Amino acid sequence: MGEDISRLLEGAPEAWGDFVQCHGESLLRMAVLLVGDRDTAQDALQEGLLAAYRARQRFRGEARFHTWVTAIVINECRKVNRLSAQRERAERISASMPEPARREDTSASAEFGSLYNAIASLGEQEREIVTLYYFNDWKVSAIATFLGLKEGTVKSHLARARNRLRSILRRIGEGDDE
Amino acid sequence: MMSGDDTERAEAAKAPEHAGHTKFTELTDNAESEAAEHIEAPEHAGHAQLMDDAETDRLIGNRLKEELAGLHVHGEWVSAVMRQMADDVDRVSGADGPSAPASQAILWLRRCQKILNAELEIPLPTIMTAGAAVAATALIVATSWQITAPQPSVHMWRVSESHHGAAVIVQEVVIKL
Repeated sequence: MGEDISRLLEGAPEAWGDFVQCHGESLLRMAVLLVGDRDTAQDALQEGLLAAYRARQRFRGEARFHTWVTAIVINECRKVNRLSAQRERAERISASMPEPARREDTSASAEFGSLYNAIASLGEQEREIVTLYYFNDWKVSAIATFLGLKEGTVKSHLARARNRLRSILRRIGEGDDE
Repeated sequence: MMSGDDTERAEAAKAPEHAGHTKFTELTDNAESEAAEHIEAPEHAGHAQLMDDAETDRLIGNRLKEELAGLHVHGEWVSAVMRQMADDVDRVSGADGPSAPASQAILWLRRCQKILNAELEIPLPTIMTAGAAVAATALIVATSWQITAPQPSVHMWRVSESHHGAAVIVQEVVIKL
């Protein structure tokens, strides 16, 4: 899709409306994968879109506009993950509670499928790698550069994730056959 | 193996720490046509393994997208609110900021009220994309006016936790009008 970049940079309401309408869904789904639940993902997306809107004059055209916004939304996901972790820690300390199960308990776990849940249970970095690779279709080299990692590290994460997800796929396949 | 172009792109790319300071080039060009390059397995990996991994990746990608296919953005709503945001945010929270003329702020807040009322008609859950901007901007205006009377009479506006405080202030501001 070729956005009207000049109109987006001007802040034209129609251009932004069209942009969100065109890309909002995939950005939201990516955010759900990265943060682990729908409400937080909506939060991260809205903050990301707002940040992009406000920063639009700083877009230098070195990437597609959509890719630039994607990167900003990923940053917002990281922020909310950090805030969420801080809040959980504070709550645990104040309530002297045992560490709660991560992510699997979110409302999204029941809503989405087995692969989603497997990815949601990964650590943040591995989850970003898997999401960018499988959902956003980024290449290993691009992911490595974006995350500031060596390609070998990305490949290692992917190999581990692939084995895990492959076994889940097989189980899904067996379930379908029954 | 990365091509020369890939290397160039990768070296120019950096994970953005701050919105707008991003310096990275196109990361996803030709993603589909380069599916074969998608798998960059170690060179010692056998051909059969590569093919198996490629097929596994294809299945995982497809399945993952299927699992999330039911997650939708309420496009009409988002679009409408984004338009409103684009129209209003700069003017109210931008250079004029808290010193914006009261008449302009009132006009804006009436629009805000209209948006909030419109949102109430939409089945939940919806994405609050520009609602946050609306709330944040209203917060700025409300702060500058020192509006504090907590007597919300409008319907509860569903907001995510981080925007709850701002939304309450929006309600307070709206009932003052």
